[in-house]
Amino acid sequence: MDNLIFQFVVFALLFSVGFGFGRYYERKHLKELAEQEVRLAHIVLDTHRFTTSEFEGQLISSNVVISHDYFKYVIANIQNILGGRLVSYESIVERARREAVVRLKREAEKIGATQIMGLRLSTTELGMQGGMVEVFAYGTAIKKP
Amino acid sequence: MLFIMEFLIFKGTESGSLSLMLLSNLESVPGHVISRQIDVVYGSTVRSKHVGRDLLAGLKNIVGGELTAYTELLEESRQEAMNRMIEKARQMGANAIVGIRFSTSNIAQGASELFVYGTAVVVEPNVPKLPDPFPSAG
Repeated sequence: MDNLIFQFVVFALLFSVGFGFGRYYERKHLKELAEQEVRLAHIVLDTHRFTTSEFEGQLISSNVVISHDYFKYVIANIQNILGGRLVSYESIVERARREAVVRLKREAEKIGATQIMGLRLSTTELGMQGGMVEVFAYGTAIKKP
Repeated sequence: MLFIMEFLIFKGTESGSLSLMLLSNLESVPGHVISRQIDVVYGSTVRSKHVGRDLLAGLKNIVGGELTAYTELLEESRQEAMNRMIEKARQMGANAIVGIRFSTSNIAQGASELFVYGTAVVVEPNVPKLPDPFPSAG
């Protein structure tokens, strides 16, 4: 019985810590993303394969790994039984993708490019129980003199 | 002393030439024209995380957020795969790789394979044609 109470206390602690920190990190991240996206809006993106340009270009890439928190993990497990949309995980994947694109634009800015052609995004799941998602973005940056 | 320095400079230019390979994930290299197509080249590497990183990741799984250690690990692994591909292309006498694609797969618990492939080609700079200085000579 004592063991059961202890387990419940640990669970409640992790659940609340996950809820608090997870929310805090997510809000902070979304705010940062919104700022960066506005700042880097001048870099044009496209996904065409056959476009070309008379200016010099080079391959750039960026990646990001984002993990879930304990609160989302529990909620997702409950939603998994009922089926339907896993809203808690959708936000993780969306954040990871936006972050990868922002980093790619920052790479382009670093070499003085104003355009990225042929953007590709790939998503991989890491970790044993899932919950860690990696987004890798790459494209060809065009440097206009 | 001078000899050693000369050696270092030589080494520096050797590794610097690695960046001379033109890379693009489009069907061509911007600003260049493909003159010869050689072959498909690829490079891959299989990496696993180490215990310390895994422990930290376990803690991060509770609070959420970015896992910087993994981000760096995957970045340097991809760079290694790309260096292998570039080395192969160099041996074939190419000066550019076009149509580059990356793929990642989990092949075992805690180990992932990073794979990159593309087409090795020879390209020439796309020099704009100058107007004829004597148009009425003929």
